[in-house]
Amino acid sequence: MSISRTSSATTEAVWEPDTSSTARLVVRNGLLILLVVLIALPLLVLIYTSFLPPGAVPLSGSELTLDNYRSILTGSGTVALFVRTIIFAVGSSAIGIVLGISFAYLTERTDLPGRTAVRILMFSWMAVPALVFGYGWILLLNPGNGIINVMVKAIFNLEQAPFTPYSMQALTVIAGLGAVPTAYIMVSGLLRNMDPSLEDAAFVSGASRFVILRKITAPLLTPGTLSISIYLIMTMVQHFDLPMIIGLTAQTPVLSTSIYMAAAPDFGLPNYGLAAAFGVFLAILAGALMFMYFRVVHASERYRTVTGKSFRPKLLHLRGLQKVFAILLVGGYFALMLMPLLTLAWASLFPYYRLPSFAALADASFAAYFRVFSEPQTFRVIVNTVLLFLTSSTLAVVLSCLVSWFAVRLGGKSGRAMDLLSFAPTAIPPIVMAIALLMMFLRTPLNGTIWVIVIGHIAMYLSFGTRAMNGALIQIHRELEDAATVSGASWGTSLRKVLFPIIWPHILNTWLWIVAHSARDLTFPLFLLTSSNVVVATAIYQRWNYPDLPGTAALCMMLVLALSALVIPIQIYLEHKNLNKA
Amino acid sequence: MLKVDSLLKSFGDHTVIDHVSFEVEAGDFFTMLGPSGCGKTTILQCIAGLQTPTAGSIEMAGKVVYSSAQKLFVPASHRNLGMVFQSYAIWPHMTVFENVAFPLVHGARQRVQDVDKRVMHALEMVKLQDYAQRPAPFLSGGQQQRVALARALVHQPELLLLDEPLSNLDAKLRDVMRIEIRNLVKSMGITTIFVTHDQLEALSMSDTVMLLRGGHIVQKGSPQEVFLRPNTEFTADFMGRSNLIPGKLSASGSHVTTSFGEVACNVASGLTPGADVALVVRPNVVRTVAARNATRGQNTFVGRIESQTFLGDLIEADVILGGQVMRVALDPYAPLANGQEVEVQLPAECCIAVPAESASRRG
Repeated sequence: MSISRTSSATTEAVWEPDTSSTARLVVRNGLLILLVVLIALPLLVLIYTSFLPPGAVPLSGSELTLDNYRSILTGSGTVALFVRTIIFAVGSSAIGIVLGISFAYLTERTDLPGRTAVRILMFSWMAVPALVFGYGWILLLNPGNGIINVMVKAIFNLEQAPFTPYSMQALTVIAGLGAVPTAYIMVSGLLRNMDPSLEDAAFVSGASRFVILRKITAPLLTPGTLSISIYLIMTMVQHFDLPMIIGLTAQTPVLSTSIYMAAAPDFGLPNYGLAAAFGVFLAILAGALMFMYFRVVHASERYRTVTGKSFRPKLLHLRGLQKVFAILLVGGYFALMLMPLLTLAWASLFPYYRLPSFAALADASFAAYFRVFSEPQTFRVIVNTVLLFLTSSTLAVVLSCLVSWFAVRLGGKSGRAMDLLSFAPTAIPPIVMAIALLMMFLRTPLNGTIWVIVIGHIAMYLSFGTRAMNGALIQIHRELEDAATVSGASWGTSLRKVLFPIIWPHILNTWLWIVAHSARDLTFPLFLLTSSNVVVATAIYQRWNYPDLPGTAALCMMLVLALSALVIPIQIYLEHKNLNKA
Repeated sequence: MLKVDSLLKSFGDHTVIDHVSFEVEAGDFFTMLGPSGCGKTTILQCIAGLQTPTAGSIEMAGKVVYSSAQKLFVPASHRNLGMVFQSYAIWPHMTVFENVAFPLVHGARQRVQDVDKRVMHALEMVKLQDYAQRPAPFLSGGQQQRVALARALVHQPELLLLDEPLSNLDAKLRDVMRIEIRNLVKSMGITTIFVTHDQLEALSMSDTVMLLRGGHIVQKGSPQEVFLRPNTEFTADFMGRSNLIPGKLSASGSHVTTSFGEVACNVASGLTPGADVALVVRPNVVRTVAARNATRGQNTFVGRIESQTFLGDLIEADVILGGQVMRVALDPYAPLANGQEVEVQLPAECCIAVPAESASRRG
């Protein structure tokens, strides 16, 4: 029987069973240090950089100045910039949440045909990068030869093209459509966790289905919906990819793109100080939204409808027109989502852009694909991309599992600190994190390598990973691990043999989410771009600007197909395991 | 076998266990009983090593496993324990066999050769030998309980800890498992610490019952001692339905003066004449008959039936005695009418005076 000494900390009155496991102490301290380096340090570097004069490089010994803040606060376009950012975020979130709620209600509470397929498609949407979605829409709405414009012009005999992708409205709507799956996933989780006996009680009281929806379901879901809305607005404020590819041409910069413009201007030297100062403002805005989010979540605790029993709500039977309308709504949405993909697929088949027609089909070929593959650079891009999403997702998931274990099971000061640190990136816009990392690694050998992007993605996706793992761990009774410990298993064995196998579908789900988001992200790769760390997302961006439309389209299609091949089977498996709850 | 000395556990200002000391003999079936929040589960977790006490010491089979003075803490995995949890904690991703084999395969002890034989033996003990290859989620509550028991016993631990193992079973199954668990552990001769809030389980299964309240030990003894000779109002009330009649101990120290007269009774130790006491009288010991105008014997009083509740096995009736309500059990086959005058006899040997609650220390 081995006997070890307790650390002095055990005399504190905290729930700290078996503090003497040295392995655990080492892991805990290592995690704390890692989180500080990954998350707190970049933020400090960012704030420091924001006080640097224009043209200065961090840690070069320049004097600090308030110039950047002064120029932002007194700048003529600043108010308009903030207003535009808010309008974009609120508008796109509104589209996302309204459609998300509608679809969630249809798939969770009605007998809509094919609702399982709808769920799987919604969960699989992560395989379509915002970048690809945006380029598809540009092709559809292009004033010169956009398919929709050409068709509408022909039908209504118009002189001018009725639509343009390069406007605030188009940017907001496209981003809103892209936000629907996220909203759907969150709202359907809310609906799934709602105790249907609350609705049944009203039904037994003699209320009609419509009255129940209006008087019971809707009020019960209001706090949850509100917090989801705030969360969505927070992510849209931070959103970079679509404002970058659509908004910049439209001359409608938002905060995130302003940061990019300051740090990577088309002409002149990068102004890192100004970019960092913009970043501080963006982080403050996101932080304020996060604060609101927590207030709402806290207030909605009293509305908690989770009872832990198995839920099997009665499904509303859709009749006649209701059914037709529901199918049209869902079908229409998926048509809108698929159109940009189909357009890109079409564009990838021709050496120059042609309107879809049967006549053109005769000239279709996969030449663009072969051309892209035959370029020597492509091999490196693929290796970089695979390296990026495999390492960042795997490391982020491992870290998330451990951080969540300490946060949920052990608690105490260190657990809380880890929980907070790992959640902070939710309010740190990716673009802000990217500029902070750029500053941090500027003078290290890591600068310009793929590993800086890996570090950025780990830091960024840790918040999603720890939220997902916290949720999984809370559902697992701690006695399952205690039983292993009492049976004589060490801490590591109890994690390896008991806990992780039980939550493994959650681990897989989290890993998959991070893989897809890491592979599709443009923010970090573009911001930290050098000739040696190009990934598929940046390769697409470069080709589009080159311009090489067939090459861009071919790369887009390959990325979407590769991600779909990974995402869809796993989503079907997880749906089968009935795991996609929240 | 187990020696707990001055165990203290507090969370901030809140003390859950307040310097509790007790010993458990080898082979004893020892029960910690008390209402929720009395600290019984916390003590068990401290014994298991799943919680770290604030101070005190715990000794197992002559070896110190925790001592705040020596700054010593043996982790749960090295205490050689078996434990059955309230939720059973059957691992859902394993079969019955894998669950039971876990302590042998992954335990910190030296490698075991005959895993198969020992697992099957443990499963036979709980009559689950035919279920070895069944996945754990396909078990009923009672079967899960048996698997948990087999898993706790397979490595022949020195001490078996049972944390409210029966509370999730339905009533019928609970009756069966009560007897089965006791027989099993007694036949193995293993020292068992059992935690429950159910006094019936405590009385029917234990060699020793330790009643707890607010982190203190209230009474410890055999089931008979604790039930028949409670030392506080709390014990009397918690162990079963009791009339608690306020009174004063007479000068002789053998009677209690109540609102309806002098009652001869047993007296809990430590009471002095004139002390405020509660007279403990269980309803089923009271003999109640229709009033006759005969001379009355010792401890016999006249009252009136106020109300009755028919419970099948018996009738529970409230009798008013000198302004005091006395709950009594009546024969369902010999009904009496409400409002009827009755003669109530309190057998002196079944009545016991304990310190009044206000005078005794509240938890």
